Amino acid sequence: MNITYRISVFLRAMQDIISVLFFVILWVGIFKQKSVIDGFNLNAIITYYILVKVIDQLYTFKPAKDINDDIISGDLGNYLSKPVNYFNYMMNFGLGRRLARNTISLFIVLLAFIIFPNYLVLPSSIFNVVVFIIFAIFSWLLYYELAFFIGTLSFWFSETANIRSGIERMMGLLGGLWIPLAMFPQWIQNGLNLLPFKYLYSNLVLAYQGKLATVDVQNGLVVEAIWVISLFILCKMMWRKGIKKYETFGK
Amino acid sequence: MKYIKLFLILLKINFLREMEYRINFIAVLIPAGFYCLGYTLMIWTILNKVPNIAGWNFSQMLMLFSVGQFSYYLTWVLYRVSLDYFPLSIKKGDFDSIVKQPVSTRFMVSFLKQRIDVSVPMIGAVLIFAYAVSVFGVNFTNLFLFFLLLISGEIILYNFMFTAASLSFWIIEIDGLISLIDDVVGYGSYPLSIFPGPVAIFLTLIVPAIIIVYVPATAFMGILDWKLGFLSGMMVFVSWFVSQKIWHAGLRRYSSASS
Repeated sequence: MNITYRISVFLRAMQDIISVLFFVILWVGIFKQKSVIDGFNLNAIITYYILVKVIDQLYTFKPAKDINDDIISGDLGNYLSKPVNYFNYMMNFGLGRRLARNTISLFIVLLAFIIFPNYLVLPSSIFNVVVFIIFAIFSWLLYYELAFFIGTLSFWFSETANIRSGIERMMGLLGGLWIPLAMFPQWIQNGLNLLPFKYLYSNLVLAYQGKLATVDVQNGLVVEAIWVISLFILCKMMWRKGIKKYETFGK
Repeated sequence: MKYIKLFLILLKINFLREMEYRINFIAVLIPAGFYCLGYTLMIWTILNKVPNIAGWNFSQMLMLFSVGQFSYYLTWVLYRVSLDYFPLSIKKGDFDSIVKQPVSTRFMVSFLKQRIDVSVPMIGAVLIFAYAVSVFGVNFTNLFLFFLLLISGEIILYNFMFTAASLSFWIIEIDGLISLIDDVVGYGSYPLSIFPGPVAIFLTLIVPAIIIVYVPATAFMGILDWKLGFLSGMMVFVSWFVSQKIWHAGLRRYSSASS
């Protein structure tokens, strides 16, 4: 479906590329005044923004909208009457949808390599790549569960477009999509450590760049796994409560 | 007068429709709030590390941001939803019913739907603006120029968005272009001096983000580049002329999709 609309795919890719280029331009201007900021030099910051953009391509908040649409339209009844696990169905659907988008991610990376051959820092070892992939799988699940959780709010609030958009922005801001979390004052970083959002972007980049010590990797994986399990339980609870409230007829 | 009345009626209908989902209406503050917080936090964090951004301090950056936000939300309140709907109306054949109306088709395409809920976060943009004003003080000549250039910028942006939407007559999947323009116009909320030459030219003449956001903000701060102010006035007419040409060419090309 995504490739059928080639121009849309192209325009979305342009949007992603332009946003990365903009941040590069902004930081080039900033690094003219100082060569290192909180452990980041210009190369590291460019790598950071390219990576968070690529990581962002892996995620989709669309399940939250799909659940909202299914509840409002009554289409959810179709799934309930079939032997389908809606949580798993939405997860696989979301994963499939990302395939086309990931092709674009690859394109962005290749283009970035061509434009910034001296800026991009590659992972220093296979271990970093493996750690990055494991964290990425956990983070994808975390993101999906957050989307599913927000989607289930539609059982109570009907239209949730603005809530969805707000939560998505919050996850980006508190996860490190706008600015590396390491640049925030320590008191903000301490607060963010209590939340799951840093695992969505910032932590993944650190894993890629090999900036996580072995103990950080171990602790990070355990804490993220706890978040994934907790959110899974929360999603199931919300779903059960929502279904009890849900009414549909016809079709 | 007839069109103002019609606009107010459409506004009322859309407002009543939105009030069906009251929580969602108020919830618009969540994304807007996070965007404001995100920008402010990012700029504040950067300016804690370096003395300025291309010579601009925190208050000046906030001024740019508030004008950018005000302009962005205004597009949604006035015409953005309608322009998003336009390609879909061609695809579905609904455009036929719009063409048949005994009023200007361009008016209906532009103002059929509005999002009144985004007027709530506009208050946030006004508050940030008020903070910046308290820092700079008010000079009435600058204030007059600011409003003049803000209105020019809004007209240019509308013409630009409308031209992009009109391309739907040729390319049906044009909705992504409007969203892309939205993003690029957002870069007008940063100092012109930060952009390298070709990018600055692109943002001034091709997608005039600088004209829409940066120019009115600099007028308020009393640092307006008069060449850019003059260019803004010129672009109001040029953009209107281009948008009309493309719109009419598209209308001539249009054949109904419905049976």
